[in-house]
Amino acid sequence: MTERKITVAVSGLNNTDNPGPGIPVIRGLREAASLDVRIIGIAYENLEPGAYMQELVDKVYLVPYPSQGTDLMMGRLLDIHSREKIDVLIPNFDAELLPLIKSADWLRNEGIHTFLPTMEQYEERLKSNLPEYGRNYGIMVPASRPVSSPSESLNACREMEGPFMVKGKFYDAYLAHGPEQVVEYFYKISAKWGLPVIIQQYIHGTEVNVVALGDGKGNTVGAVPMKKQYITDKGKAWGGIAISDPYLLELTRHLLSATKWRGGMELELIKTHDRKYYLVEINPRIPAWVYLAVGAGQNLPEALVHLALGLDFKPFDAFEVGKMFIRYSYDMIVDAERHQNFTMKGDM
Amino acid sequence: MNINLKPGLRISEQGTLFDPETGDSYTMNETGLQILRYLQEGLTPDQLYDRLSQEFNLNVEGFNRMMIDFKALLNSFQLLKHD
Repeated sequence: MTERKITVAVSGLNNTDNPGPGIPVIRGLREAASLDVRIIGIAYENLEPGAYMQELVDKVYLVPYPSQGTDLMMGRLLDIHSREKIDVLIPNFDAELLPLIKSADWLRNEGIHTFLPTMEQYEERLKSNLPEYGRNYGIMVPASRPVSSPSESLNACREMEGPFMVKGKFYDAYLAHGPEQVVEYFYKISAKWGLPVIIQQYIHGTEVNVVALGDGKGNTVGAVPMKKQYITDKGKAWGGIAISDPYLLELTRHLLSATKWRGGMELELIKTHDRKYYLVEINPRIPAWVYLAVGAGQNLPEALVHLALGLDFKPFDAFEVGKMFIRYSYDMIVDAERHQNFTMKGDM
Repeated sequence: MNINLKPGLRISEQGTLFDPETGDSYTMNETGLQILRYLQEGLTPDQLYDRLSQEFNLNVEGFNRMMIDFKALLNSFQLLKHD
């Protein structure tokens, strides 16, 4: 246990059917034997469920979306910091990662520690750069192309075999069986997440993911592969099992070593029936299913806080294969007054 | 005919086979489970035939035919050792 209480600010409290990683990260921190934490929740919406989970979050603040301006967001963070003295910030919302990576030095000067990838690491694994990433690191990647107009979408469809995955630059992915559907989803995704939209060849197979933490020096602090067992209509895992697949672990160590990855990471792959692996996405943060890793013996959020504070953390060398997570929904009863005060005051 | 099972396969007391590499679970009948247990013990094909012919009414031809089918089934589920 650390000598003093560590104040950790955590975002991604949107425990919806497209859940953010905030609450699982907080659960990991609360259970960490080596930490005594005070949790500050960072919410972008006044109905993010995690904001109302008093047993997990000590205080919550509303923050403007990064799209409303980085200055506005950073100003609010500084305001929260002046009240709460944040030691570590764990951002879990994709759209906030880039401005926070850019501001990592400034944040550190203010006393807020993060443990994020570098700008180069962040950009190298962007969905639009994935084919080149695959070539550079010797991993198979489905044919894909970033597009910025409906006509480009149609051209992309001619260049690869269908069906297609149509993906937003941060979130959302839809399976399209033909070019007409691709254009339909292009409009839907670009209206929500902006451009480019990524058209990717659909690969048939089993969805397997890895949650990992790199120390920024080429070492893997921890890694747990998972097979999705129950998938929602949004493509999110609602149930999964920790697996021992040696290829996935070897691939993770290879990537973290070759890129000197710093921070949390999620690898998303498709394993075909003839045992070929296609990398379909890399998320530069801890995923929402990270609590499976905690349950399987690797408390990656705990390790991340240690690394952010510059403390040593012995890398994990094992985890319990066969541990499963089964997600569920749960109705909280909240007084309207609490919700109203949160909306008006911006904190709770 | 040798059947080399993938290392690490687990058979639960309730008779479920679990592949930790893929996370897949399989249920099978008592005979299939017994054969898998013998294979995990490392029995040679001759030893396997001796055991099974004592427990079931089997001749060599029937045994060989059954083992070819069983191996094909295990292979289709990717439960055999791969290079």
